[in-house]
Formats: sequence, structure tokens, C-alpha cells
Amino acid sequence: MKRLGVIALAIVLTGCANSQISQTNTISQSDVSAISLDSTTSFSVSRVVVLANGVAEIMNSLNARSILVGRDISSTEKALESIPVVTSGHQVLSEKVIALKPDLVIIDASTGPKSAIDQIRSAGIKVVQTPESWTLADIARKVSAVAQAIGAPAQGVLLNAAITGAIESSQLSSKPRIAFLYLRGTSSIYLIGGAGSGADSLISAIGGVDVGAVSLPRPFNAMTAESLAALDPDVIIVMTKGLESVGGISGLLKLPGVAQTQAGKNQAIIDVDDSLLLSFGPRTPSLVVALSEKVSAVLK
Amino acid sequence: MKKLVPAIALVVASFIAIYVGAVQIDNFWAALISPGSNEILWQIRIPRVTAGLIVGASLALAGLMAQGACNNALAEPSILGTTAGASLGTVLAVLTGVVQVGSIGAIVCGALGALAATSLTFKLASLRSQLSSFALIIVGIAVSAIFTAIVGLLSAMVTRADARSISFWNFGSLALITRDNLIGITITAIIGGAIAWKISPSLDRLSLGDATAFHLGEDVPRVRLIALVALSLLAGGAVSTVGSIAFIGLAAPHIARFLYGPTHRRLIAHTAIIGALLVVVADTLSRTLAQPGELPIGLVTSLIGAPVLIALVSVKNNVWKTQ
Repeated sequence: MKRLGVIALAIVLTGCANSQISQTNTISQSDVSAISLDSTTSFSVSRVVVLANGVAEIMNSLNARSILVGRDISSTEKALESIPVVTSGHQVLSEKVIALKPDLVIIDASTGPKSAIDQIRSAGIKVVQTPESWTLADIARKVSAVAQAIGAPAQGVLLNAAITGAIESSQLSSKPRIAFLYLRGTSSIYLIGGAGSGADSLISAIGGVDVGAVSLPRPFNAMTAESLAALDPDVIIVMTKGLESVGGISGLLKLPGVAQTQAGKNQAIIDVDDSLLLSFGPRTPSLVVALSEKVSAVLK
Repeated sequence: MKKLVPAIALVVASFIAIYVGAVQIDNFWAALISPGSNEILWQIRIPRVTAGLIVGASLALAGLMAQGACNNALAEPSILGTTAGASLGTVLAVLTGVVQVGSIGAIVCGALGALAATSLTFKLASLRSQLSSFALIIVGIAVSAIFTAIVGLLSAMVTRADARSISFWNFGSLALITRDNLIGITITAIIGGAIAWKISPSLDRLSLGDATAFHLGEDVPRVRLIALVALSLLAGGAVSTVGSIAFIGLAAPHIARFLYGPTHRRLIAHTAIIGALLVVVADTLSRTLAQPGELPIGLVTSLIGAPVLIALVSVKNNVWKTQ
């Protein structure tokens, strides 16, 4: 029994040692800030529960945090920590939502299960669906929809103007070739972002070329060592937890194909917080600036 | 001429395997004659094809040793628990931080796991009576199931990239091979192959039955133990590096027997060549059929190996003498 304990402890300890990754090229939540409005206004609703990816942070930026009473797990900003979470994983818990007595629930196409939404509706609560955002261009549409739903369209216009203004001012001078890899850890078959992955719009925003989007039609494509080596990106962008799942930068470089790219040879690998990278909301302008800085830094 | 067919097929298949892939190599022939010139060819594709050759030969010889030692047509590393033991040995060693998959240390742990599991199968199968073929297969399947389940549980409980996935251990993959991994499997293949060669005449006598072999002067338990060590080295090396690739250990020796008869020493080279051929063909298909993705190689070897085996059995049913 004692021996088993020692083995278990050894497994835990080596697990910890392994999960430590290089922090040098990481963009974490604390490296970015959200664009927020100071101006106040009145809203048409007073208790809002958001179950749509990224909407809670938009509410916060619209200066509507005071009417936010419940949120989904996708909003990880510090400012929202005290708002109760009403989902288990990504599953909506209808009882928790109804118990908060909201007068508006905001969902999007990915919110589920459907039965929970039906229960919320049948409790007489107004449910509004807002569009999802997968590119920089989608942000304005989403912000407007959220502002409209809470009865503050003018705030939406103001926030959109601030976000658009911030995005336009960060462009790289060179045109680096960048690939976005979605890593799943235990196999060397990774997904590479293609046209419509979301990362492609960030990469073009900083003035880079998304090598996956150039040749791959689907948003996410299974890729092998040879195909990645042939795409030969100068920079590789991954999500922080994805990088962790392959054992950090050293683990990533051991995957056949990665070491053969320019990015692998120069260790030009940038990892971005998982919930931040494709959030497309008020933090995105700041993310674009941070990304552009990191790309310049790793290319030096 | 018949002798040379698999060897010629292997050379052709290896060339095709090096030629085709997710990426078309520019100036292929020029790149092929200048080592290191093309990174995709020399650092990804050629190491992978080479690993396929070595692993195929190793698994095939492991199957030959298993069948010879057990004097049983059904015996094969994955049925005797050898493969599952090798997986568990490697996974435990990786999780305790001792070794990394593909290293020589991992191969040693894989081989020890293989030997432990196979010995356990033999021990349990002969608990109540003389070792019978039937008990050996049943117990082997049970031991395999237990060891495979433990590997699965460990993979589910500890999500560690370097311990690989359950799919890797169950279906195998050559996708993670780098040049550094070739050393270990080459060593086990050479040592395992040499031992197999050495004890081949004894295995021929063992095929006449334990009693006859004893009267012909064989120390039956000793021969069996040596064959098991060879089996564990060969399977341990292959499995700890590329996971379990189904059917090679069963199909390759049967195909070789069908073509060249039952004499073990003659079978060694033929079995190794046929095993290498099966794996190289299967791997080429697995990385080209679903481009730019890949199929698990174990599924492809099953799809190729099983029909070949069925065809052979239906054509000629006297490959093995009755037990």
C-alpha cells in the first residue's frame, strides 16, 4: 500500500513538473485590458443573466455590470468574478437561472441544452439570442445586439466606435507567415486553423499572413507533420492550455514537423490564454496590440 | 523466384512509401541521394518509413516466437498479453518520470512489462494442469484485457501528453517517430532476431509436441523461456515506441508458413520481410488515404491483414499440423 502511495506521489509530482511551461511568449488575461465606457445610461431591464459566450464582458464594457445577475463559465475576467455562474461546464442549469429572477436572459446559437432554455422561457422570462462573433468584423454586430437587448443602443454605438478606433492602429510592417495550431495533446495530429478559424482575422489584423487560411478551406483542419513542415510558418500561435497539453514549448518542438518549420527553429511560438484568443469582444483591440508586439519580439 | 517475391515487394513498397506523402518533394531523386538536403524527406518521412520496416519485422518475429513457443497457431503477442504488458510497462515508466516514450529506457521497461505479462499468462494457464493451448489462449485474452484496462484507466486519470493516448496504445501510430527513436528499436530487433535464429532448431522440435521434443533432447521449459525473452524484447521494443499495431504478429508468420513451410530458421527472414512489408504498406495508406489527416495504422493493418489471413486459411488449411 505504502509503495502504491509513493508511486502515486511520484506521478503527481512529475505531473506538476511537466506542466510548467516557459512564460516568455505568453499572452495572459492580465496582459490585455478591455475597452470600457465610463458614461452611464438607463436600461430597459434590471436583472440580466447572460449565457452567451463573451456577452458578460460586453455588458461590463457597456457599463451595465450593475444589472448583470448571472453569467456563463466563458467570462473569465476579474471584474466579473463576483457574479454567480449558472452553468455547469457549458451546460445551462435552468433552476439556477430562474432562481435569480431575471427579466432578461441572453443566449447565442451555442447555448444549451435546449430543454433548459425552453424551461426558462416557459417560466415567463424573456430570452434574446445575440449573434456569435468569430472575426473582428463580428464584434460590432454583437455589441449592438447586446446593447439593443438591454435597451441602451446609444451605449453600443459609443463602445463600437471605441473598439474600431483601437483596432485600426496596430499593424506590423513586415508580413510574417503565421500558423494557428489547435493542439490536442496526445497525438501528433493537430488541428491547424484555416479560413474562418477566428485566428485568421487576428492574424490579418496585425498585418500577418495566416498560412493555414491561405491553403485550407475549413476553419479547423487535421494536419500532419509533413503538411505543417511544408507550410513552414515563421510564427506559431497556440492556446496556453493547448501548449501545456503537449508538454510546453519543448514538447511542441519534439512533435515531428514543428522542429522543421522556421517557427520551430527559432522557437517563435506564442501562446495566448484559451478564453481570450477567440473571444472577439472589448478585449480584442488590446489583444491585437499585444499579439503584434509578441510577434515582433519573437521575430527579432 | 517465389522466395524473392516478398523481398522485391518490400523494396518497391519502401520506395513508394518514401515517394508519396502529404507533401510532394521537389526534385525527389536529387533530394534522395543527398542525405539531409530535404528536411521533410530526411527528418520526417524516411525515419518514419525506416521505423515501419523495423517495427513490422519485430512484430512479425514476435508472432513467430509466440507461435513457436506455444506450439499454437493462435498465439500472438496481443493474445498472450505481451503487447498489453509492454504498453503498461512503458506507461508506468513514463508516468513515474523515469523515461520518455521512444527512449531506450522506455523500451527496457516495455520489454520487462511484456515479459511479466507473458509469464503471468503462462503461469496462470498451467496452474491446475499441464499447459494446454486452450487455457493459454483464454488466460492470455484475460490478462491482455486486464493490462489494457489498466493502461486505459491511467490514460483517463492522468492526462499527460508524454504518456500518449489510449488510441495510441490500442491502435498504434508511427506519426510521432523521430530519428532518435530508431536506435532503440534497431537494437531490440537485432538482439531479438539473433535469439530467434539461435533457438529456431529447438522450436522445430517443440512443434512435435513437448514429449517428443523432450525425448529428442530438448530442455522444453528452457527453450520456451528463451523464446519468451526474444518475444518480449521484440514486442517490447515495437510497442513501447509505436503502440500496438494489430494483426502483424498473427498474419506475417502465417503468410510465411503458407509460402515457405514450417521450418523456423527458414521462416525467420521471410516472416520479418512480410511483417515489414505489411506495416510499410499499411502506414503508407494510413498517411495518404485521409490527407492532410491520418488514419490509425492499427485499423489499416487489421483491414489488410485479416482478409489475407482468411484467404490463406480458406485456400490451404494445413499450414499447421493438428495439435
